[in-house]
Amino acid sequence: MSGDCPGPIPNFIARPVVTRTRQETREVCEALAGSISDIEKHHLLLEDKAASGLHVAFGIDAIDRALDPRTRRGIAASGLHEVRVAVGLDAASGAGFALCLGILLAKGIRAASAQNRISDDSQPEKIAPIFWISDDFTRREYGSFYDPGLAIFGLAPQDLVRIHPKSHEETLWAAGEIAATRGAASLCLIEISGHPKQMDLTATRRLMLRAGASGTPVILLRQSGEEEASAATTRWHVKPAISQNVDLEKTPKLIMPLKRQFIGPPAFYVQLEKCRGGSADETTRWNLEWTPDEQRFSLIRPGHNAASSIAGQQQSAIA
Amino acid sequence: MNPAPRRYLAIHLASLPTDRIMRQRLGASWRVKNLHQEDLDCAKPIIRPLVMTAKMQNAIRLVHLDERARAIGLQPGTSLADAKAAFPDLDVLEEDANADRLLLEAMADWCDRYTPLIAIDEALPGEFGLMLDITGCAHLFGGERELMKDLLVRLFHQGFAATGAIAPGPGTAWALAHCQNTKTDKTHSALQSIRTLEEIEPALAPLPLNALRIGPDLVQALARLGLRTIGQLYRQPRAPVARRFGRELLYRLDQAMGAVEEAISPRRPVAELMAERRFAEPLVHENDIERTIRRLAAHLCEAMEKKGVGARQLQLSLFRVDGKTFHMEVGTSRPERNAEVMTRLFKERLAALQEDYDAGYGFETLRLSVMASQLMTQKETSFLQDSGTGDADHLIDRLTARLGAEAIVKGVPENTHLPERAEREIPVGAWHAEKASHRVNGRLRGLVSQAEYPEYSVQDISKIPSPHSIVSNSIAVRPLRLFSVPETIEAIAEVPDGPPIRFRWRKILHKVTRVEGPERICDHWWSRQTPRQTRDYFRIEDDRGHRYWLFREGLYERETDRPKWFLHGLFA
Repeated sequence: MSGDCPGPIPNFIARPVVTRTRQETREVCEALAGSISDIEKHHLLLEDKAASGLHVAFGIDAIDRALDPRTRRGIAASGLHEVRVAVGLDAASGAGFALCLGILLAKGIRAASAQNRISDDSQPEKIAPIFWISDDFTRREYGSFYDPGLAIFGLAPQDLVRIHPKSHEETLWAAGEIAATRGAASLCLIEISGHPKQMDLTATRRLMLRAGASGTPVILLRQSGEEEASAATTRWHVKPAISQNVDLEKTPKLIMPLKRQFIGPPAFYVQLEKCRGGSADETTRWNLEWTPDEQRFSLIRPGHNAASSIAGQQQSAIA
Repeated sequence: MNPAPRRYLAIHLASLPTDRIMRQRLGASWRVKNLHQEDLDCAKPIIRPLVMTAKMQNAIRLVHLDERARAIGLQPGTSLADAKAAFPDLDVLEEDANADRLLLEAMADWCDRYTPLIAIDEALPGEFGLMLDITGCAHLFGGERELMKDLLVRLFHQGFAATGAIAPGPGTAWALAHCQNTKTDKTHSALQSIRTLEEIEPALAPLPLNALRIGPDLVQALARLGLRTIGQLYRQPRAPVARRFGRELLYRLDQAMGAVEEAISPRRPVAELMAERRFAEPLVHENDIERTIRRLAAHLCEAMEKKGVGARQLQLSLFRVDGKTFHMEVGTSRPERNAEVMTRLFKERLAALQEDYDAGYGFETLRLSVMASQLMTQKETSFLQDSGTGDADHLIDRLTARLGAEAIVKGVPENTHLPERAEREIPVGAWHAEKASHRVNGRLRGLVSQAEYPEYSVQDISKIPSPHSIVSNSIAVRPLRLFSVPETIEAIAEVPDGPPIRFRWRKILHKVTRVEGPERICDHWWSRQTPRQTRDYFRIEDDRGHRYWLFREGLYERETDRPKWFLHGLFA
């Protein structure tokens, strides 16, 4: 059949020609327009839901105000957040901040759901795992997550499920699957290097909608990445900060290190680059310290032994 | 009540290696085509006699012959030179035992449709055959004879010369299958069946001794004594025969006569439950396959509900019309009895195998088997509580089905202080088993593990150790990211064992401002001849706030003159 019809137009199976009256055509168009607006409304609804949904406060007024100027509720708990690291040297800082942010969000969600539920102490609650998706290249280049090191962040190794995809498509698929399943993950951490074309605006928007609908926090950790348009609610640019001194008076049991130079808890220099519904600009940047005991961030003064951490950061950026 | 007597179907493939070649040359249906050609013009077959050779006893000898070569009187074992002298018009090829074996495996897979209990017959080298335990399977095909006929006809149409026989024991079936003459019935390979033990002796008595699965040397030795048939040997007094020829001969004889029980070892583990569906029209579309899986799964779930079990491992077998078989397995992290969940798992698996499996002309039979099951207790769930981590299990099963078990892992602590060995990644499925064994022991494995990973969780704020309480508990601080292979750095440090002052990693110079350490970690001196050098680990911070985990390998002047420096991990 196909052989006897040469020509540039591919020979499809003949379709019956439908003749419509103008009235019918208009009805069809209206119906289509209706369903398109329905679809759009649905998405807007989801986005509204994400916006009006649970928020977790940092407990630091400046940050909460920047994230949500009107009500100061803090950061939207579910949905997609992006953490960006500019250079490979800062890889661990980015991972650390993403993990801390994730813990903050997961904790907020748990606290909220515990309030809504009648407490049942008869059986210990099981905690949904944290998923960490990271491909071979990223792990080779920046190192793999190390279970004994996670203890500092208050995580037990049984909480972390590692996913090693073989391609960016698999990364996206796995992330989408985790984001879409309600209550299956307390956090999904996607780590990518650079700007794979698969992780574009459409893909991140899809992730964002799924995560918003299921109430799962998803954090996209972009190693060695520039600013890129994405659908994420917030984007944070992370660099390390010089850690605070440890107060020796408070910790008398410590083993004496050389020259009494202790390294404090994880410290970050973060800049909020983008925030939907909030204000993100040059001034929204802070030196933060993660307090593992309380699982929260606190503001710190720039490092004592550098002129100023922020100034130091700028120098290092220039260098 | 006695269990049903076992029934074995032996299939003898007299010319498998040559059939393989002919199938390659003329297509799988070459036997059928060839017949038609002969019928049409009564011309001599255009194909030359085909022989396959191998080097044996210092000469190239014939090992496999096709029917034409056998018809002109050639024998296996003849040297190629002799054969060529007598018949110059021979088609000679070298033997490829590996390809034959692969083909036989594929045929065994294909036979899976008749019974799950299939063994590859390896009684004698150079003989090809399959042994099927068809006990309780025959009625599905309309009786034993129908089953055998169906099998042999299908094999014939696939281009194989096959003979078969059914008997209560594998030895009997083997003997009957091997001593049939394929020439008597050209279109349908011959078939024979023995029902009771009494029928065995008269049926086997006239058969030659090589039907007993004994080597050719033994057959010749017996022939020199005038013993040529099984009947003659059977009538001899047993003791002298055993003294002269060994017990092996009598054992083989007893097996053939049904006096000794014999079991076959099936190639694949036998499924606990199975559901299958055959189609007159082959299935091609993925949707149809999915729908069939759902129906089969529903069947299985019903059966499992009666037994009170849930599936832990499922296998889907797809039989393609041209004889290729695909098996795919999925596992579940807890007993599963939900058809919808099973279907979804296989959907992911099929999606992952997209390139590897090819529907071709379609699948004629689909089978779903439960390979492993586990007692399933119905859990009473409060309607106030949500489903908890059940969703997480399903999610992990789906991820595993699509990405493979090796891609979804968890860390397990190991009993060592060497940082790169202290943690091992194992698939989440195996992790559950490991955890269960730990629970039995009452503690996590290893001396460090218990202290290092106390049971706490994200929201138990009070129980979470801070780095300082970790230090005060004498557990060292470990980095967030670890390089599986430590990276070499150039470092300037005080001798003999001072901390680094400056170091260069990935071509960038870092100035050390703060140091913690050293923490000395030795290799397992008890487990190897020459232990690795001692490492001194330092936790350091540079002037820009980066925190690293470095170590010096080798103790200065005790283990080495020039200690080397490495970067092992990154702190947040």
